[in-house]
Amino acid sequence: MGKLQDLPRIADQALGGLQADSSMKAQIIWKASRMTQPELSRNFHFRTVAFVCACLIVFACFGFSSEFFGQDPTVPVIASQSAGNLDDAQRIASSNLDQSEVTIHASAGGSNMGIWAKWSDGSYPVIGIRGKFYRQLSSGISKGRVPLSSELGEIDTFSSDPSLASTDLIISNAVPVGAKVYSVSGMGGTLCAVEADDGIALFQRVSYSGHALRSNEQLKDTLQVSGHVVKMELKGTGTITEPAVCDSLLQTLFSTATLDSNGSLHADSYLVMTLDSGIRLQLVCNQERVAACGVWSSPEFFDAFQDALGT
Amino acid sequence: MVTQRMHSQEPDESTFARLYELYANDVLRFCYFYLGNRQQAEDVCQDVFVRLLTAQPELQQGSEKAWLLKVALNRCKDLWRSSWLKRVMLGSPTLELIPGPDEIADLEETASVMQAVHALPSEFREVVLLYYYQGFGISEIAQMLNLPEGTISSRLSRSRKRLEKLMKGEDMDG
Repeated sequence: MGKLQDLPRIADQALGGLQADSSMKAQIIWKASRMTQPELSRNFHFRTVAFVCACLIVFACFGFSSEFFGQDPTVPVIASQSAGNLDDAQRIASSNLDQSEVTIHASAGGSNMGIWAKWSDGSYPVIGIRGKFYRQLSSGISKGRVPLSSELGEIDTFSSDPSLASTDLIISNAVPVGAKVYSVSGMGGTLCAVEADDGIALFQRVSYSGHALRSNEQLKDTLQVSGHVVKMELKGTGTITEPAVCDSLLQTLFSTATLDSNGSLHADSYLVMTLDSGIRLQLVCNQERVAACGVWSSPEFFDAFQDALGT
Repeated sequence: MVTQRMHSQEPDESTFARLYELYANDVLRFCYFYLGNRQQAEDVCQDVFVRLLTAQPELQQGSEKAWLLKVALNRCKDLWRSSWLKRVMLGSPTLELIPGPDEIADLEETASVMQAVHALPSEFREVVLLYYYQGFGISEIAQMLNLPEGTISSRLSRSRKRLEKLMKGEDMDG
């Protein structure tokens, strides 16, 4: 039998002294209990200058806002893929993701898969604000184009794995410590924004590593865009361009959606909502379910969308 | 009226205990095999199971190990990348064996295989470890790494060839 086929036996022989014992188990339980305590002292992780510089370099590579914000490309894309083309020295630390994130097949969105595209190292740029997570939509937007509202706080911690952090923190794997985070006027908890060197970076509310809804939130709390949607595109079905019809469909979605899970949806399509500000929100879809923050089942919405196309 | 079917948010320590019993050694040794650093491997292993406890992911039966190793692999990659300068300047250390107290067999041959696998480029090392060491199939590995199956097969093939060179022509079953 070849040596590779025998690797399990070889490795057990070579590493038999390496054991995950009861002491490690106790440490794990202790660490986890600390993280779930309501009051935690803030741990400020001080990254090297190289990491901060790498963050800014990656942010600079995200400058496709003019294409994503206000214009109308055929496929809604964000060039977050370019981050994956950076060499090791230029990459920021990636977040540690599991399969709890929304994903989209390459075939559904083309080679640039839209805002849910991962960097080639498997990470997403996110901000976590006290347990609510936001995924980066775009960057480099000029300040005048995004109506910033109240300041939500500053990034407390930069972490390669925001999901490990206490939900009391404002944490990010993409934005450096100290950066101010703002809500977007009229958007409620749907969006947040950060001022970066090259302009405003926008983030959309999403599920992240099992973190989705908080307290008594419902779908409409994560998509506070009533009256602002001017276009809806459901890939593979069609596009609605009447704002009144879009709003009606949105209300149908809110009134009929039932929560499937706080986890992932292996999607084969997407729903893009273009707002009157030019911002485009993206949800992924599969089998009459939509997902961004939580996975929601709503056959009624998809039927209504079809009906709206037919009128 | 929106109705919600919420999944339980209560901690599942019994699941943690069961999965720790089943897979913690695999996770720890996998991390050590990848990183070559015992302290880092132990830290990553702890982080993985802390995350299991705190994030409470919805794991389908049969996919728990894959989830654990995927989380571990991502953490290992972070650490591996963050130490690239050190490896460039100081060179990569040889993987040290950590045999059990009862191990009396000749470890020389074992060491050469282990060190050859550890010396593979990281993108080859991870597929070799997942395929040959942990026994995942190509389809499973493709899902874990979010890569096409063809890419996984190609990397395995290229890994075997690279290992042949590293092992200086010793017989490698493909």
